Amino acid sequence: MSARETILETIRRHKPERGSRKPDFRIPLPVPDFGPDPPQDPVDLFIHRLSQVHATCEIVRRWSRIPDAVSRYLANVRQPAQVVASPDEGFHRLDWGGIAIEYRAAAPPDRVSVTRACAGIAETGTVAMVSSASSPVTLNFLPETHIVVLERIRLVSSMEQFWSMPESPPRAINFITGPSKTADIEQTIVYGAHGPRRFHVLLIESG
Amino acid sequence: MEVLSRNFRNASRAALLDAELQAALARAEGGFVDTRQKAVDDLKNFESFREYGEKVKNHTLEHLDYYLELFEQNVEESGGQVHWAQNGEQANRIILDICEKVNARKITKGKSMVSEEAATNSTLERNGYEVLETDLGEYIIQLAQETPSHIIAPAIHKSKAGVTELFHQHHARLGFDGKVTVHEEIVDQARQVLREHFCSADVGITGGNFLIAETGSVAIVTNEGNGDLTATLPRVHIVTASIEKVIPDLTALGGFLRLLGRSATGQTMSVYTTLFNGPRRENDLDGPDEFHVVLLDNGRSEILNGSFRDILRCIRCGACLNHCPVYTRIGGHAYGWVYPGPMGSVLTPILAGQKNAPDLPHACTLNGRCQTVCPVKIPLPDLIRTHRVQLNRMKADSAVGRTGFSLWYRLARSPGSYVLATRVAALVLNALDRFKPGGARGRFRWLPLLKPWTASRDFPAPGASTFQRMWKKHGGEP
Repeated sequence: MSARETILETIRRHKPERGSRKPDFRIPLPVPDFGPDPPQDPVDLFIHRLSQVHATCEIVRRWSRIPDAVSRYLANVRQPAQVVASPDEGFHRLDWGGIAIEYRAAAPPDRVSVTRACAGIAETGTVAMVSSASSPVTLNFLPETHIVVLERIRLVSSMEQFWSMPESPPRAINFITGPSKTADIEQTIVYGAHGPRRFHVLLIESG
Repeated sequence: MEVLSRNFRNASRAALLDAELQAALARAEGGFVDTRQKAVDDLKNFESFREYGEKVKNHTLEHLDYYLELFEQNVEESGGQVHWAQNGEQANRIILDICEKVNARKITKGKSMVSEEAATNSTLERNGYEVLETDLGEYIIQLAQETPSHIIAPAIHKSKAGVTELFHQHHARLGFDGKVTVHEEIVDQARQVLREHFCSADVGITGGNFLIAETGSVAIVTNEGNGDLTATLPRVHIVTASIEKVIPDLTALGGFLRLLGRSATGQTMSVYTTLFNGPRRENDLDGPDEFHVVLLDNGRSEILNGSFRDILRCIRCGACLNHCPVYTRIGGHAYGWVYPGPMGSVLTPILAGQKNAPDLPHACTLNGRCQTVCPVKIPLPDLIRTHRVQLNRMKADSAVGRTGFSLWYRLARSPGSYVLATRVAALVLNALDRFKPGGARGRFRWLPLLKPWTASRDFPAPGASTFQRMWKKHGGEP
């Protein structure tokens, strides 16, 4: 008997009732309740949560203003105006002005990445990155500074609302909540363990 | 990993005298407890999520065969492969075969307790592979040639000064002169060293926090991002996970994520939660060419039958360790195997054999804090007590304890002898107290047979009468 069969056979032997038919799974998920304290408007809650996890956020009026916001942010954190971005149609359309931009997956020397989130989750201050030909995963992890573009209409209140968004399963869905961190040395939090040290969200109000 | 749990008494005594360990444990304890409490209070109905977690895990365990087969089917549908291993040896064989087939040389690893169970690292190294742990804590203990002392903070027993020396010793030859002494510098040096390895590894091995049957996804939860780099940069990604990690669907995942981050590190959500589904797609610009999941049983299917079934709900958050008065005094190494603290005291005797870990279930005050904080409501003290009963039946517990308790049992079951015995004992001790040559009245500094007690505190002398006598005298009124 193969290992697979032995394991399944042992499990079945210890089952209250025999047979491997589709079980009736109806256990309702509780609705998260935060009480009156944190702001419940999704945008406010999202920004509040981001601030709690050492991430920053800027509200940007229009899609066309993204390069301007990226420029200002990079100057602010003293990073070069040289970025690698996901090969996204929306980014190609933009006039990036003085920013040197390349559209590709990330490589080790890259310092800044700009990517586009599939969704934002207000409950936890999380962005959901869905991998595809126009959204390589390495951009989320290799550069030291990660700038994520999120449209206001893609902000949902909880993870459950994200699941109902239509998507065929990609190789990877990265839920990212702030910059990379570790507390492995004497419980002291240090940002930028292996992933980005800085995590900045540009929340775009309208198309 | 070799089971050293028989040495628990000596190891815990040594741990109590280890000044560096005691300083590290003192630093850690309060932090974990306070941050967890804050994160739990943040979600007003955390309790209903605990109930949800308990129910969903129970349901999944009842239909474990169904969900494992569904998971396997969906992994294969997304282009991945599932392998089944009854024990660590089989799991390592599967991993070795994959590495051999793709001509691997260097292997990076994300944190995986299951691979500790199977001793995967040493097996791979014996077969000529270079293996690198990439979680900072795991990397530190790999350099120090130690084992994890906490399931989520493996290097919790290390001091910063210790890490400074360790890095100097291992990184000087890589061109890092001078010692790094500031937290940020230490983390940055590890980042630089491991960055090289991430990019040159052929195979990445990670654990899996949840296996989602409905979609065939493996969910990995981390804070550093090392798990994602390990899973994305090499040509092959291998997941090692034990069979009880499977959950029905993505809705259930949402429930467990609200429990896990809060219970483990006091986070509303850990920094990185990633769902992996198969290898890279045709037009993807990155990701591995192969995706394998090794499902390890290692005794778990047998746990389904019998009194320890509830421990299979465990999601490895570490909250029971952080709230245990024994773990927080002696640390993880004294427990002698992969899993320490309350969940380890239940799991180690089952997986490694009760006779190989007879002292673990006794290293517990039954105070119940672990059960109170467990996100899936595992009745840990009850399971520990069950081990004690079984050890007693096997006569595998201490002979003195067994004789003492069986005498006590006989006495307590016969009210007449009990009343007589306590009255005599009270009278004798009271007389001894009054006529003893020196020392303050009302307490003893030394008594025969009671040295373990009197070594660290005085034994109070009883009054001349017993409680039962006084109760009778006052007509049953207090």
